[in-house]
Amino acid sequence: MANPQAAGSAAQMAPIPFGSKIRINPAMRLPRFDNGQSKAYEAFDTDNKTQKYIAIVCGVESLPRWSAAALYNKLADTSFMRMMGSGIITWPMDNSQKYVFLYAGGVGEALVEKGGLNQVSWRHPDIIERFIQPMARILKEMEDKSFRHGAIRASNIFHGSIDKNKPVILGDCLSTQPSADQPSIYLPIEKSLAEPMGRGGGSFKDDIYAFGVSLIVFLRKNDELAGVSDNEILRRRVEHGSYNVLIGNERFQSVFLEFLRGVLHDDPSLRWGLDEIFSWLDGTRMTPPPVAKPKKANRPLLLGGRRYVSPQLLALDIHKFPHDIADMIQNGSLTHWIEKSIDDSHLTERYSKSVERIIGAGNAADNKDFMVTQLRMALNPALPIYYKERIFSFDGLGALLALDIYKDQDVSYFREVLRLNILDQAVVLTGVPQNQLIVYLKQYDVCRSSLQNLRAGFGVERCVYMLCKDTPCLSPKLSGSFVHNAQSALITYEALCAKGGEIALLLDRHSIAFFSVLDSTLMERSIYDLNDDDKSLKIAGNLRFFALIQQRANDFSAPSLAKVFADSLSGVYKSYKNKALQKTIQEGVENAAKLGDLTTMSMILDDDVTLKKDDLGFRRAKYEYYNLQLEYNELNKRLSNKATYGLPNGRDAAAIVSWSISTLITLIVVFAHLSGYRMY
Amino acid sequence: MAKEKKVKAKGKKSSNNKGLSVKARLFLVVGVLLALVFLPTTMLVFFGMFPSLVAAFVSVRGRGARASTVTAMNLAGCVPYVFKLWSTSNDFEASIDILTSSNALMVMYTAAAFGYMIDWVVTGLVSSFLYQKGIARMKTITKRQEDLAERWGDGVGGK
Repeated sequence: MANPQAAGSAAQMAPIPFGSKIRINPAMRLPRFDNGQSKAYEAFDTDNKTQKYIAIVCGVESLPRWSAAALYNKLADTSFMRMMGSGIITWPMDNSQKYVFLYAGGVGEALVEKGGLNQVSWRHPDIIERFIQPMARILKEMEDKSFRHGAIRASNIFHGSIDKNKPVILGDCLSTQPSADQPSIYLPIEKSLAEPMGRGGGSFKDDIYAFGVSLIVFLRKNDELAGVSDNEILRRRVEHGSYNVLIGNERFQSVFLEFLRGVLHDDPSLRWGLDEIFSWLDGTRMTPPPVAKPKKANRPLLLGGRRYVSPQLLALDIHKFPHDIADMIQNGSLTHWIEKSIDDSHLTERYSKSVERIIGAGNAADNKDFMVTQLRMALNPALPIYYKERIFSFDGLGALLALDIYKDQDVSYFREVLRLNILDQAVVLTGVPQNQLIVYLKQYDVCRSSLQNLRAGFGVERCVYMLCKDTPCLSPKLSGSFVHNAQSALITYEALCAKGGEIALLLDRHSIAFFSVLDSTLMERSIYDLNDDDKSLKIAGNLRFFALIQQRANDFSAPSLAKVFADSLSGVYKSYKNKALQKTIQEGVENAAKLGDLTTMSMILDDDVTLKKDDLGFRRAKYEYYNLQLEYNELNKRLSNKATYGLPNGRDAAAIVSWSISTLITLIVVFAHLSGYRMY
Repeated sequence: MAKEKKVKAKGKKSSNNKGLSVKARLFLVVGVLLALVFLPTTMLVFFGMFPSLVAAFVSVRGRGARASTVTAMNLAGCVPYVFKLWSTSNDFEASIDILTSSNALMVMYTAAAFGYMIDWVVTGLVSSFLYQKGIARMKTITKRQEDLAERWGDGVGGK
């Protein structure tokens, strides 16, 4: 991935340029702005060194949300961290490319440090004015612009000033995938325990939930959940409801309890939205829906020495007892427990369907992974998907897959999840709106058909870029690089070629799939050649693609790339049959290569008119050659017998000569006779 | 195609069976009548043109050109004696006189031999010329093919 030999101490590193005026100081860490594996550093303006910025440096492993940067910039509220720019830098610590988000500095301290407690003592009106109102405004703007933050937590909300008496500022959310770095308690139950990258984009209601938890963390005077495992917290949340677990024995003002009960409701459809939040802020007395407790069975189910009285809790542990569960399905005891002990028709229906699917897929005892997944979804559809020890949300599989591919891990589970329609079932059970449901189901269908296609540009490579739009190109050739658009691709490939040793077959399955998904117009003229077995056609396809991205990259000169192509085009020139034309084209291409002009190189080689003329001329020449060969063969055959060749013609000529002489003699005799001359 | 050939072959066969055509028969009758009317001349020409008859007889099918060459020169040798016959009494005796004179037959047969010589020489010259022309054409073809291959590559020859 990166070059460890080039790694050095951050303290020894010179500031790293970002654009023309900004310098990132690798020696000056700002850990409170870190987001997962993305680390924050101080940056400054070369013209005014007192002007400080926060640079969050993200590697590929963080899957930064570069595709959302433009939308983030449209968020106008002053309580968002102001983004000053974003782009690629080469990070000298490991000599690899990183994506950087640069924000304006001066946002103050975090509201609550990680693992700590609130140190300020705001009164009720201050909390409303400085915290809840700005956050409500932020949420409103995000909802209006369909933007999902995914990193709302007390440690990522800042005071906005040194004196801590200004409206809060919400920290970065772009440096990793939504919810990827959120502590488990900030996530609704359906995302808790999912792997960080598998949590998915989620919905706007997830941000409201995270805001509610942030408020609790800000208000609480002690942390009752300190030292309790995430698994146990989730168990308690499932059993008692998130609100009850997070509030615990803490004493809050009743007005905040009303608000918190509304925003922390575990059912997203009953959770407060912005209308309720603004009504509450306006002083309207609201009645939040009561916390829904899971239905309990009238007799417990004994499993693994534990007594389960709720199917939701059973769902959490079902993967621990696959053999016992398989036996219980086969002997009907699980069915009996669900149907007789729990009065829940929906659960019974879900369970029956899942059992049908399990039986349809084969013997439950032989297909335990599928059985666990199905039963877990049936018993508690709110939980993330569990398949072969991978836990992910239906919309989080793309990012999880991207990370696995980046880390070169086995991704066979992905094919199975799609093949077994697990994602489809999960998204239907989750109850997403109909319009989104159709989009998801269509996306999964496209992925399935892509997996069937063996050609470059399809397969699992295409799926990863389709399911996670923030995935940079994961081509092994681009290891240590961050290629996310045409310009970065051109710059990176140019740098690779400048190092030497590259051949013109630069595009592999990953890069073809990446650019096919990024912009299908980039690939549509090259994809057929890139899939051809003929090496020269592949090279021509590569050149055509790079010429197109050079146009997109404002004609950035790429002499090294051009030289690699120019040195490899001997086979491509042969697509022209006329040798003189080949030479002319080669000269033209080599001249363009010296200027790094891939566009002209491609245009010269792909001139349709010249190609057609050449082809027509070749076909005519071939026809002429063929006819000449026929004539040659005929002549050769006839001339092989020299003694008889031309005899008929010769005899005809002799007859003509003979008759001519005969006629002449006859005439002479006649004239002589008539003139009285006697020759006898 | 095969049917047509069969029909044509049948037609030929039937015409052979029938013998000469009406036109040919008419010519034959007129010829026989003329030969009988001009019997001395007929006799002179018959014996004088004997080499031509032999040439026509021995010439295999399709090689009538040689007989024609010999006939032409043989005829040229006979013409003066035909005139001699006509300028004298033009009777049977005069015809026998001419035929029995060694000089006349020698001239007629030498003329026929000269016809054979023309056939041999001209045929040789013409066939040799045509052979050389064929060789030259083959060289031209080879050169043109080489030019095409040089300009368009070996693929032009389907290689």
